[in-house]
Amino acid sequence: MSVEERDRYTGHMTTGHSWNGITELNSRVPRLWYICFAIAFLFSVAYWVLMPAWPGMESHTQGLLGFDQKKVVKQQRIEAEQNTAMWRDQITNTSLSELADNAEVMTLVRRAGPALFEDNCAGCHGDLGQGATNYPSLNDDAWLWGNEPESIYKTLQHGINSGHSQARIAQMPAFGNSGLLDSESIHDVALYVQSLSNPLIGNGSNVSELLQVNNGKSVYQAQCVACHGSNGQGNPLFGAPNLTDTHWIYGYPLKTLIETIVAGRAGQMPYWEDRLDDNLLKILSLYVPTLSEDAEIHHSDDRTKTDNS
Amino acid sequence: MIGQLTLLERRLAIAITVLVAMVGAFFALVGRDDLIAIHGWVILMFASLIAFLLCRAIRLPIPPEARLREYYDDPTKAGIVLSLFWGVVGMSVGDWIAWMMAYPDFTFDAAWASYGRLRPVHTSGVIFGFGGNALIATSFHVMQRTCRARLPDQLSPWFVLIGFNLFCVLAASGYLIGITQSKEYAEPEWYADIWLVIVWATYLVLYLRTLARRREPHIYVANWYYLAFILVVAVLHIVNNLAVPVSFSSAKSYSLFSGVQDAMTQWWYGHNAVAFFLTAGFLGMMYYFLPKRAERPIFSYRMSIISFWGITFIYMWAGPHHLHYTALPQWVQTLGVTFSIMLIVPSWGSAGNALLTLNGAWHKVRDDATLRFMMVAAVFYGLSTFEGSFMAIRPVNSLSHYTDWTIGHVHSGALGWVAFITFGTFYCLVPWLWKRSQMYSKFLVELHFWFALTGIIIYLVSLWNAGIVQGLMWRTYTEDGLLAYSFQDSVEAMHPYYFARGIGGLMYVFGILIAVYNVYMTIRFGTKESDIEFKSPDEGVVASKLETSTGATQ
Repeated sequence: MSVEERDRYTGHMTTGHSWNGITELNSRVPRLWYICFAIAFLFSVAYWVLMPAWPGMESHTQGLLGFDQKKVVKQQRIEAEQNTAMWRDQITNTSLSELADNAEVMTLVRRAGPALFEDNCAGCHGDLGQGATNYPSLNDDAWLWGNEPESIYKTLQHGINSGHSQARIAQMPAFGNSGLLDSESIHDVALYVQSLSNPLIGNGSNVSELLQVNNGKSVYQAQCVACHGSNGQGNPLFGAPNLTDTHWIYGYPLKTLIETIVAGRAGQMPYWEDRLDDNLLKILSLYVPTLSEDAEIHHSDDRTKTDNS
Repeated sequence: MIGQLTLLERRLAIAITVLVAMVGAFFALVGRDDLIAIHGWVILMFASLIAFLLCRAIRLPIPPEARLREYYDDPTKAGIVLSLFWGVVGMSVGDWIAWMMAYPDFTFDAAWASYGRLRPVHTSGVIFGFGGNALIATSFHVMQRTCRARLPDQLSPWFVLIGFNLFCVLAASGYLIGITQSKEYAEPEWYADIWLVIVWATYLVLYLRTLARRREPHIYVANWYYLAFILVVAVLHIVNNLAVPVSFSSAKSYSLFSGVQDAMTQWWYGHNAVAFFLTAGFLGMMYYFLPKRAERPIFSYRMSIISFWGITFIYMWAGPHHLHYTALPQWVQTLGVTFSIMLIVPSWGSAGNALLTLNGAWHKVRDDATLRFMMVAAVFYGLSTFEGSFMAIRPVNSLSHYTDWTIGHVHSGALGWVAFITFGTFYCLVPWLWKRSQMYSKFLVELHFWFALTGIIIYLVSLWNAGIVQGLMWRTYTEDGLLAYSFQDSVEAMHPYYFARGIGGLMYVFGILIAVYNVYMTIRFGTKESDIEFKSPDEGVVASKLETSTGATQ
């Protein structure tokens, strides 16, 4: 049944086989196919000769070029360091306060800061340092540990409650869960804390509220002053937040304040000294204070929104 | 359809479904504290439903002997419908997550709707659900015709098709509830993997049995490709999924490999899944349906063979190009680069063979959107294999790796090659199998073609741009020697490209919806006149020595 036929269009013979009407021409493989394959094969052979390629029992062929990707990476790292050499030494050898006064350095900081900040900090603090619920804003004037570059540098280096041996430690006790305060006292002291920044609360027009605020105040004096200060102004030595302003990390509503007092708080910030070069930590320490300056200029609208949350 | 099964086949089928249902019940019981229980219930209900349908039909009359003189096409018909179903699911989810890239809040805050769970539903849905069902369905069709032999029995094709779809259901539902072994394109856990081995072994045996019964002296090249697809996918699947389950009552398992060996095994699997699932299988489809539709002889028998061996031999080595600049030793990367380069030649041999086959039929390509689907598929096959080899070169890869260029490349192959050859094939097959002279609407085939092609081009152009912009942003340094852009900057820069990609994808989804409508109308209504005009595309008679099959003894 094998009958070769000549295809009228191409002039080639068929192979004589037919599968449900499908036939095949017995035409040659175009010479171009062989030429291309020869080129590709010769390219590969050359590549194998020049580069590490075929495995053997002990090792693999090393290639005539002596190319080694580990060496290449080392070399690239050296080059990368050379590219930063012009400012690296100055930053390494100068104190942060001096650097902050150097206009040239601050230009560098403003150029390098945004990408560094967005890659490492923005995940929690937002790309403009605007923060989010549970994550402090860095572009306002409320600071837990102070906004001097040295304080920021220390926070970046060791973190907060980070497990690092020199970490900053800041823990708000769980007054409710540990049984230190009963629920009535907790409610009252939360109301008192609200009244510190809101003159409408406990102003005397509502008598029962006034009584609660007063009771809250005495609880506050007994339990809270040690960290938050007698007037609620906070204390950067312990990272205790100021309670009299309108900036809130976890939120201002009474319910949230009660949660904070019942269960305590211990926000964590990781330490960066193992992950970022010391010079980059310095650049970031100088960059973070500029966020609030920029915010004054560009983002005053955003800020009021965040503050009121 | 069940009426076509012999009494013995019906009884065997009920026995199998009861057995599978019992396995499901076992998992539902012993794994009741684990996610596997949900899958136990899925298996139990899936098998019970089929057992119920079988039992209801057990008293239907025994099919006449005359059926043995015709090819057995019921599983192919079901496979086409299932393939289109999974295509709609997989492509819709794909476009959903495409929009999620542009608008990240598109997850509705639900765990099952997160990107990480939906993405494998998309990839498995289109590769295995759409592509796998299309391959199984068409392979049944092609092997019968090119062997001039009926399938050796009527039960095993159904077992393969329905069993494979149970695997797809387990895969997709598992991802949504959080079951995955985190290997790309091999996410399903151990019990689903074992099930697929059973199904796949049956498939291989079925194929070999049909080949053994052939009444043609030679084996047509399409069968070589289908057989390579079945055989190699079995090897890949088994090796890459070697794992130790925590227990029989847990969905979790641990891979036998770790570290760079695990990575290399995974990408040996991953790349050869592209090679043997998405390339070899669909080349088998192309080698049958393109010459059949064009009514032209294959341009060169010798080029089919040389390209077949080129592709099967060389592809095996190309996997390391997925792991350039990683912990993988460089000599392995070298082999990956060089074999990827050499791979262009046999790949273009196949694409060229397809396009040159159309010589003498280009007027048909102009007039017939079905044939044009297949022609464009061959062009995209050539383009994406060239692009793949190009991206495998290390310096190019250092720019393209981890960017959306890779996603664009995959879709040029998946949308342009795999899906286009499938659509062309379905538009041939549906009228042939349901005995219509043509599709319900030629206009809708045209419309589908242009929607899909425009969609692909928008998709590819936007992701080429996206990938190159990303790659350049990640490697741009300032004059101070520091990175100029944060990662977030590069994400924000992607928004317009992701938006355009979402549009391109939407057009593609719209295209398959048109196809579903057109296929439905062809099956359901056709036209009275077209039924009379129907000419069977099949020649000759089916092998008559069928009496050894299970069915004939009844």
